[in-house]
Amino acid sequence: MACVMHPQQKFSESSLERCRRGDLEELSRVYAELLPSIQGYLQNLGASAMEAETLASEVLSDCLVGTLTRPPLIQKYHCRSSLSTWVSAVARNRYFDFMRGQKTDQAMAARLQEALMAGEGWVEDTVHDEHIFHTLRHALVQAFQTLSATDAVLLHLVHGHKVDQRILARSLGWSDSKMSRHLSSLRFELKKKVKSSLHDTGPGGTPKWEDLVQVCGQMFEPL
Amino acid sequence: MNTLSFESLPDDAPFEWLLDMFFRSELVACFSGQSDEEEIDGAMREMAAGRLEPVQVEELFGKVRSDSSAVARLAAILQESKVGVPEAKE
Repeated sequence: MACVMHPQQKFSESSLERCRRGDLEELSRVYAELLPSIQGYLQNLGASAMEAETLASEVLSDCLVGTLTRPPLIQKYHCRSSLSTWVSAVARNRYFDFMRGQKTDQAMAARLQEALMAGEGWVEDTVHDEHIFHTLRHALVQAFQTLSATDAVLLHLVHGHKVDQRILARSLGWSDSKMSRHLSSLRFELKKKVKSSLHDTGPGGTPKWEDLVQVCGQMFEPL
Repeated sequence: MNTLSFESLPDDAPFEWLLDMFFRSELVACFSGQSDEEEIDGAMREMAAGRLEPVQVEELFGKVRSDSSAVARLAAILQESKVGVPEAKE
């Protein structure tokens, strides 16, 4: 749908056009302009300050810049509402997805914790398909072996020790949003490599999430 | 048991959780090894104080990659000295 033309909207439309063309100066301006309001909106929905900051950065990055594999979402913006309202709607959906993921993760973590506390017997009783287990474990290790030292340590610090990614961003001279995008991209590539490896060597049929959980349950000892 | 298909994961959240478990369970033993504790601990403190250049930080990461206990020490040092890290430029 074409944008409705009003004199007072000329600046916005010019801005939008420049953003769609990938004008870095305008993209940076719009990013800086929208970031505080999106963060505030997410916090009003219930996000913590850190969650709001991370999600707002990711949403704005996805909307304005895109990723290696996805064009910026702004290409799909049809001016039916203001840009700020549209980005807020994207942020709201992302936050709800995030919360659903959190609930799933918490439930999974609780089940796994119980299973780990139950000891080795659980592993013997629960892992029915040894071949799937070894294939998944192999895929995970292979994926990690392809990482550079910096990327491996970054993921280790963020996921293994919950180091604030902003500290790491500053140490490397990166902006917070660059670090957020880099970590998202790393996770995406790892996931892709794991899936690719599973397709190459898997026993036929796609492993289920529960298989991955079982793999985690097997991680009592280093490989 | 959750039957969410690996193929149809809606976003990165479950995979992030998988990575959390992966690292906490020390499965990254494919990087197993030991590093020179005295040498790198000094560099870690310098990093935490914001006195290492980015390239030196990457060198430090290269040295600790193979030593999960060193990564754990680095994490502890960074978390303790969080306030001292200067703001990065956009």
